[in-house]
Amino acid sequence: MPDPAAAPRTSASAGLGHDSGVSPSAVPRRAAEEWARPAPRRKHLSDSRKQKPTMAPDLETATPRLLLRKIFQTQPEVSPVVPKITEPWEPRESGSETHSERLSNTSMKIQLPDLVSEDTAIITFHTSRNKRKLSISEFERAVDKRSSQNLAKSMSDDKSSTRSLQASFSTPVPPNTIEKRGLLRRPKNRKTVNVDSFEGGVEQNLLQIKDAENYLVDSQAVSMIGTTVMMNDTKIALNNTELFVQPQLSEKSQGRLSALEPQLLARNVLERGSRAFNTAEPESQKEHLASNVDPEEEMVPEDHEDSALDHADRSGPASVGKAGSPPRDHQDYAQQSSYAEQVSGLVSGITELQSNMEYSEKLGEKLRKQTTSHINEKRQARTPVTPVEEEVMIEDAENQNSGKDVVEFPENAGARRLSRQSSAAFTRYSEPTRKKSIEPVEQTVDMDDGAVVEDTSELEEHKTEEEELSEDGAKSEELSMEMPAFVHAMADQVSLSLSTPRSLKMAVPKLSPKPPPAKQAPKKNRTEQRRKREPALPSSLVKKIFRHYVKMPVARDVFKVVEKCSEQYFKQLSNDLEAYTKHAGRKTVERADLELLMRRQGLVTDEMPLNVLIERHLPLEYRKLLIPVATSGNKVIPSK
Amino acid sequence: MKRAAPRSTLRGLIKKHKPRLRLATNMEFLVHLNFLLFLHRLAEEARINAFESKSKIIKLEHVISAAKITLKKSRG
Repeated sequence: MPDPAAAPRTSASAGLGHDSGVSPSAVPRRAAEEWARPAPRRKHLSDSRKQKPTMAPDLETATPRLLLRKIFQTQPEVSPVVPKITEPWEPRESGSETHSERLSNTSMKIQLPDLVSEDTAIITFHTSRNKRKLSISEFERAVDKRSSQNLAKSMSDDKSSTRSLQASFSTPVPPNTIEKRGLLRRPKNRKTVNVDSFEGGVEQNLLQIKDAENYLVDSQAVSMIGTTVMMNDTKIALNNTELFVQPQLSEKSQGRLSALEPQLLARNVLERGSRAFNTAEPESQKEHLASNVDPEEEMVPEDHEDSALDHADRSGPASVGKAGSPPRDHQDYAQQSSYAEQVSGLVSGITELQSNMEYSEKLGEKLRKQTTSHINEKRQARTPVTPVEEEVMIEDAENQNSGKDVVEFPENAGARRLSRQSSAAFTRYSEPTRKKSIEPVEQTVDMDDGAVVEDTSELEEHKTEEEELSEDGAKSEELSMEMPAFVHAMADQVSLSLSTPRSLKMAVPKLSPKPPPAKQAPKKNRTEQRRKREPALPSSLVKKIFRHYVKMPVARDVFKVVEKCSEQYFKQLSNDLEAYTKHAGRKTVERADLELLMRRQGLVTDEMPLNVLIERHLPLEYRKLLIPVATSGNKVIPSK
Repeated sequence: MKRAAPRSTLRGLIKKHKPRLRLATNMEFLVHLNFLLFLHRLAEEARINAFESKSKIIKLEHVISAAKITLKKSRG
């Protein structure tokens, strides 16, 4: 039935406002359907329809009339429903349209009256069977009206009005529902977090961490322990953070510590550590967590014990490891034991710091490094020893990068004199050993004797890597001067703020990726470290800015120096800003402080005010925020 | 084509060094300005050094000596 003739008809109907994307093959089918749907409804027309087709036999073979007739014969008749007035209108109208447009007037006229009569007799739709002759123009007008009315409702593509009407007639539901289904969203199954279970899980993790101290650092452990360890004042910091440590542990650990005291006091740390601390480790570490409010002085002897214990713990594996390589370690072990006393001074300070450390191995590693550094410096039998030591250290370092960093940072941050000096020495030693450069170690050690290090990172950057720069000496002096302020700042931090541990935590992990052994650290640690790395300016930004200012081709290795320079710059900047703000009796850096800084730097002069600099170098959006602009109506932007 | 000033990074950087220090609103831009001017001075010094050594490329030693001078100048 469908034929090309139907296609133009459907396209003609589309002229009313529908049907743009219908394939020609589909059109005839649809046309046939469209004809079929309204057709069954028009029961009353069936007679006329059957009569009508015969009236114009001279038309094309597949005339709508013929199609309709065939449909009538084949398809069951559907009782006409009268849902709305408009709906019955449209299919008929659209069908009549197509008829009218394509078929000869005679045929259209013949059929039109049927349709039109129905249209006009809306109210008596199902009753009226009268044929009335209406003009085509009138019919078309009515059709246009109906089609425009139905456009909004129709969802079909071509012959949208007819389709929708037909759908509404016969199957009112499907098209709408289909579309709505597309809009329906999947029910969101959100599991609300059970706080209790979460906390329980966290506690379990902590316990697991304590158990697995010697091994990989758990991410949570690092975060938890980092917070605990990173506290400036080791003990106090630990106190605040141990939310999940069981009090029983402290008792146990204390008991054990007391038992171990005499041994520890003997300061034969290395040897004892291997024996006693493998057992005492967990307790000692837990004790560290558990020790809450002990004042520093009280903790000091405990610290010594603990630190010694930790030392022993950490050095235990180290010593064990060392013992494992007897040919190499003969000297080392003997040296270590002999150096136990030599190191004791350092150890006492270090133990204080190390009491914070959670990971024994890392301490042991550091201790080994210390001893190795000692050995390197004092023995001068460096070459045979250091490579061996370094190898051993590397092995441990690989496993304990994050812990190492954690350890190192609190050491640096420690505000105690012992720890300060020892940490300074320690960090100095650890840094060079980490860097595997012996000569810089010596230099840094010589340079920084007595100088206190604020940051291991600082040391790393400036001592070992920027030795060339003569500013190392100046820096150390500056650092030593700034240390008291820094120390005070640290000492003031009795209450742990999240920022402090986070910043410390971030600072410490930064150290870890630096040493080469870090390459072999587990990926988890590396990503964690990267996540917790202190905020550093994106190197791409620094590169871009520098390149823009320099306007010349730049060698690639220059950027590293520029980055380090900018880091040092930020340190200086923060120190200066703090000094100015404190001088003004404030705690917040204000615009005046920055202006004073720039004036002292020589950037702002009497000839060059700050606003001019702002306008020159900053983009417009920032300028608007920084410089108040007065606009009409007494408005000031930004409003204060 | 400058990039936007990394406000949160600058804040974090200062916080890392001076945890107790606070920054007023929009002060990061002045810090950023300061940093830009510092880099500007560094670049100028490096350029001068390279020019003096008659090299068309900025090399490591130029930058290092420039950095020493610039850091000393920016100490305030």
